[in-house]
Amino acid sequence: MTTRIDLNETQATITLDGRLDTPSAHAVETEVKKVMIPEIQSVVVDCTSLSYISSSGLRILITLYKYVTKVGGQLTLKAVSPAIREIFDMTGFTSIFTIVD
Amino acid sequence: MTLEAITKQIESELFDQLNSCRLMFRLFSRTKTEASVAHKMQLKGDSYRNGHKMQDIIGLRIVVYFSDDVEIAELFFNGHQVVDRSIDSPDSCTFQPQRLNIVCNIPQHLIQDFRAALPSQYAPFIDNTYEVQIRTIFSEGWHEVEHDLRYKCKEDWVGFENYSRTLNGVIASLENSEYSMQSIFRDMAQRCFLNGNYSAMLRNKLRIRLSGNGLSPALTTYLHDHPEVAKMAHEMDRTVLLLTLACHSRHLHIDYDTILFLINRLEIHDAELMKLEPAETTQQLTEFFKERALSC
Repeated sequence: MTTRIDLNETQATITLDGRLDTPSAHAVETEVKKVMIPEIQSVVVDCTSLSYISSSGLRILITLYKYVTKVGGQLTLKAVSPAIREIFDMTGFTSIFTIVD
Repeated sequence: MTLEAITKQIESELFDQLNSCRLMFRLFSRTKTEASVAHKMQLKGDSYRNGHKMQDIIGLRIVVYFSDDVEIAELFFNGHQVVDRSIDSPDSCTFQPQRLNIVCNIPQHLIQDFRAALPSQYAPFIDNTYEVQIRTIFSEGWHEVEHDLRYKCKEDWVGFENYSRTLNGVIASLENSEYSMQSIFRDMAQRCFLNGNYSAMLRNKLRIRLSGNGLSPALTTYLHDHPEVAKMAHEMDRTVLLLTLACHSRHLHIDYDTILFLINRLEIHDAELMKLEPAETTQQLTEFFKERALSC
């Protein structure tokens, strides 16, 4: 699992590549915290290469969502695969997250 | 409908939603009396006449038993429903009361009745909203006392700053107590998992109102025979599980077996465990996942 962070003025893009599950969650969480800074108003999570997400991974997205919402920004999940989309549907989190192609 | 009846209806709808994930909580409501509205107009009338509106003529308070449930309750309120949030971030150097207040739109189907029930002379200054406060049960006791005996009586405390500080110290102790409560049950869940007591593991991990006394003999045996499945059940994120229950419009009958089957569907994906689902549970879960999720 690799995580890339790109910061551009007020927007951060987090690119997730691989399986976001319990063993990888801690390292990803450490990376994701880097975008929780006052300068960042919106976050895009690029899920193009995200092959699986467990509840630990969803928890990271929830924490990120709460932070971004609190500062009045927006969290967007981009290029979610059908398999990941199914996980969001099953948990009902499609009603929480903004998902775009 | 009276304002009190509208308040009770909003309270009832919120209760059902919170109860869908079997959280341990209490829910209180109050409707501002006309006298209270008049008093507020006396204090802040200028600001209301300048466009700012009274948003808390109906107030609800969600009191949860564990501090990590504040986040779950908060996430119930999202999207178009929410007008404003006042959430204080913890300060590492200061202990003080922390606000978690959310202003929500009055449900569309109640707006007409709400407007009709408002005292006519104050109606122009009242918004179509209600306020939700979320607190833990420990801080609720402190806040109630502080609100009535310090906030409303500031003049009593002039010259008694040391007592005021001590009162603030009490909330610090309560925060520590909340942390201890969570830690106790987290550690209990871990120990029960290691001891192979899987019903107790679920009970202490989830800290919700589960029906029944424990897992069925079949599932208990299965977990003993497949400890890796038990491990994954133990690792399932609690917040994600409870939010899943809350985010679906169909409510599940939540006993130990059903919770384990739900965790299996969401996280473990063990085909043999899935074969142990009774037909009724399979139907329940199928309908649960099929229902379009509510806006949390």
